[in-house]
Amino acid sequence: MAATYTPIASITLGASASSVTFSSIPQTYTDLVIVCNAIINSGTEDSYGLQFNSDTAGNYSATGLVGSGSSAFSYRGTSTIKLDAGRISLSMSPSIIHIMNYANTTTNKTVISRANGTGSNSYVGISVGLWRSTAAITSINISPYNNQGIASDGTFNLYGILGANA
Amino acid sequence: MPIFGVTASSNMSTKLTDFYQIATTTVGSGGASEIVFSSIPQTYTHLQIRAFVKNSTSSPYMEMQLNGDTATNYSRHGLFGDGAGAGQTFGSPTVSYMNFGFGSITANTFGVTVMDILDYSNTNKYKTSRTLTGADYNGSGIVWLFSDNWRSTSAVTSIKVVTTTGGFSQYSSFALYGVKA
Repeated sequence: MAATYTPIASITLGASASSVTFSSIPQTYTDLVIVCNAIINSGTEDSYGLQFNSDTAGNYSATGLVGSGSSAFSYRGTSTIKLDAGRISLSMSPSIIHIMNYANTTTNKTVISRANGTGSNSYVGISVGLWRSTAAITSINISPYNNQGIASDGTFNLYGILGANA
Repeated sequence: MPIFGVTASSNMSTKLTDFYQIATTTVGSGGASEIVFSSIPQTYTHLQIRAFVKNSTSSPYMEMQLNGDTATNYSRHGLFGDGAGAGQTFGSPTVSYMNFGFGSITANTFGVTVMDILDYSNTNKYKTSRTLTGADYNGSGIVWLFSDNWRSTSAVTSIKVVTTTGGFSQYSSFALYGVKA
């Protein structure tokens, strides 16, 4: 059996940045996985906002669930300009974001993620999101949902997973 | 690889050596009533199933049975968020299937599932799955985290996935992977 889960690109922030972008994404995999671990630049915590193929229109939506240790809440975004996925806070916050069947040109794209943080703003969260486009995903821009910026030393790794005989 | 204002590196040739393809099924234009992975190799530590699913009826839920066991040897628990308030839980101690996840019921939109079946080939333990699944429809939708159990020490050699009613629509896909420790 062939090995997969192939590293495509890796970003380590040498300085704070408003966003990171993976571009020229190969179209040769079944799914993409983003593994990120970063600190928000201002504020306390937020989701990441993803934009695909530079689409800044209200073509995204998401449904999420968050537990903070003292309460749990669910949220929804409808016709938003970013796709809500993962979370970022004042401590290193690992998120795993799955972008399924990203290269197909027949269906809308669905993204699912899980994330957690530590420290004074602890939480655990899951979310599912939709990009209403049949375009293959060729670039991904990632920023804190409300544009608070990403601190230095944040890491963002993009992997490709190829199914057997796919 | 061009990145805005950050340092980036790219390595297109190196694979993580512990994640392996086993099998993939994509549903054709006629749809499918069930998906079966059989003769699963016993050479990995864990299994992962990654699915992209549209169901053919208004029922979004999917179920899974292992090794053809149709008896009430399964239990399931879940936590979900539907955008309407705090997440909720449910538990079913003795049922005849495990949860597989949530398929879409809306045209051109697909639900997704990432399921891990841990220690699937171990013959000393009951089997446990962990599933992240959901679908969003721009104004409605749901996301789930499941943990299910099969009370059997048998190694998992086959997996069957069905919908609660109906079947799977065209372009639904199910990919099975093996993970080595």
